[in-house]
Amino acid sequence: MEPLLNIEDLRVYFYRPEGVLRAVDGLSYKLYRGEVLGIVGESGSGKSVSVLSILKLLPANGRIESGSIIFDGKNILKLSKEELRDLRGKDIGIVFQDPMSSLNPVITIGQQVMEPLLWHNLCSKSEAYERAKEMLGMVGIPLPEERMKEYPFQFSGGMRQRVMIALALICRPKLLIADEPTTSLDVTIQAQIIRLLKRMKEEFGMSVILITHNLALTTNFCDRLIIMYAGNMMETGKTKDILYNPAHPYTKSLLDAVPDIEVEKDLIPIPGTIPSLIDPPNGCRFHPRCPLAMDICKEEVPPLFNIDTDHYSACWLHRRA
Amino acid sequence: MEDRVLISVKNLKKYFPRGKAIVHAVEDVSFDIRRGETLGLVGESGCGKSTVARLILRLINPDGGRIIFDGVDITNLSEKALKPFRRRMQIVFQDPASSLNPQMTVGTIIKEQFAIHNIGTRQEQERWVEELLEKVGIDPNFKDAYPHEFSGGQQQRICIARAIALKSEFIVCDEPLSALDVSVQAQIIKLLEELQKELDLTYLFISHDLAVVKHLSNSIAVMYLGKVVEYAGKDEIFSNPLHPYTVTLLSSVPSIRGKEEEIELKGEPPNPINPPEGCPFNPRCPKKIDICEREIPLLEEVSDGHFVACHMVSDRGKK
Repeated sequence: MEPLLNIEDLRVYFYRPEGVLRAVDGLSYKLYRGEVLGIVGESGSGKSVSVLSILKLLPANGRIESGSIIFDGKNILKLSKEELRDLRGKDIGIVFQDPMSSLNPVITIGQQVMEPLLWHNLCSKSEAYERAKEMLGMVGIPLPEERMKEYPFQFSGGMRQRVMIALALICRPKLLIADEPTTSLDVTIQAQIIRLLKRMKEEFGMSVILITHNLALTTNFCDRLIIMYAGNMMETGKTKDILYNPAHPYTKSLLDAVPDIEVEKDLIPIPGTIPSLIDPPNGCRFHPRCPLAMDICKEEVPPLFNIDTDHYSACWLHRRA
Repeated sequence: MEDRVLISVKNLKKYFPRGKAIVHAVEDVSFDIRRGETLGLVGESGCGKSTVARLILRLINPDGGRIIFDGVDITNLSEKALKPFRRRMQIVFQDPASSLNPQMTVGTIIKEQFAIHNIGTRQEQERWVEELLEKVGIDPNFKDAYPHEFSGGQQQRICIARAIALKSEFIVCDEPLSALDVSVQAQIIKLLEELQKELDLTYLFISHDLAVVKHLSNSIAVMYLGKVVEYAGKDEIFSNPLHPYTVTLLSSVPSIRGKEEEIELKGEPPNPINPPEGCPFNPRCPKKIDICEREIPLLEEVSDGHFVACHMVSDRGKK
């Protein structure tokens, strides 16, 4: 089956006064149609940068150094600005962490939700109005027609995030990117938003990439996971395999270090801190904090070793003699 | 048992004027914290958790109720009379970077505590700073470095060193992990646990992360719209939650193990400027009955040490 998204050997560097920051350093993965992929990592792991590269939404000092991003048969890195703009908001929708700073404060909610349809010339203004109204209703905004006349500040955080989801889905994209969509929200609202994303996924059948630092959030939503650390993929596999049968020492350490409401356990902290990506450690980037580090880990970057069906781990422990 | 109570708050109230309106930030909050134990204070943003903490520390003054610290009513003490109590209580904030003065070295920041309360000679103060940094896992050789030279986790360790500098007995931890990376959070949790054991510290631990609260607390108070709606020992509240809000809150927390049943909580917390009549939770409550819209349910003890403010649980509702 042809994947919807195929990323190969992606490298994204940021040029800083202190040096070159290697935010994503050789990342490859595929996303299939209708699949929900979770990209999990801490800050600075490269999880957001890797996905923003798909839309080429990088800050001015960020550059895609090498690699290829094939989306729906097109190489995104070779597209012109106009072709790229056709893609954004139409074939790929995105929901960011902070809905307040992603919505325009001086334009009504109605206009903002209609804008992608009108911008991409997909329908008439009156039809756009009807579709925006319908979509706002679908994402759970009561009295959509009245609320369309209001401005973002008149919405609560949870409601704003619902508006963002309506905006991202209004053109029926093939891919929805949700970048930490619930991080600024309370836990009951977080549950509402994840449930909404799940329902929308069932309704429209698009592929979804969920970027999060919270492993527990992926349990009931993601089909497959990628665990990232310091710009590299550490492990990838089906969600259940990763959560219940983790292979990589980083994934294991992370699961041991995070308290879980349903599991009584002693927490085992991961010593040290996340390394600088300007001068990252040689070899495996987790080796300075890894309880099982061997000599080879300090020198050579581990490739992805096959653990089981669709389950890969970038750790020298899995090398077969 | 009674004499082991270090902090006791009774019917605490705090209102903030906003224009012509009044924000009912804290409305009748009562609980006890026993010495050497941790009370987890949970609830959604805007429910008044941080205001309660600031009231207990007398950083702001209450509009009603009493605060008893180690048997002494400190509610209306003058600043001067309060000073010996200030030594005994401290706070660790959410964002360590903004709670450390960027222009002072970490050594000076910690030493300031001794200067304010006039204790120790200069040499003693130097030595204490080094001991404190050592205790929280920071190399004392870095005492002349500035806060920005440390990572977020290390900065939080420095804040904790400052909080225990005066051998305070009571420490408010107000979302102390929220600004930290997941892999670093466990380090701080461990440190807080170790210090509590070693120094017999009493914590008020405020967090929106129920998994962390469950890990750290002995008892838990759940707040909703300025009120404590349920208050019990940790095991009791997690195994036998009684208030409909607690039940939905617990079921909203995602788990690696997945969730057996998810109860969707509809809507959002109401505005504390204009709280609903009756039970504050009634507009969202799946179990609402008539009385909930009229009468405010009182926090009543339904079993040993388990308090709930809900008409459906208390006897009056059943009648």
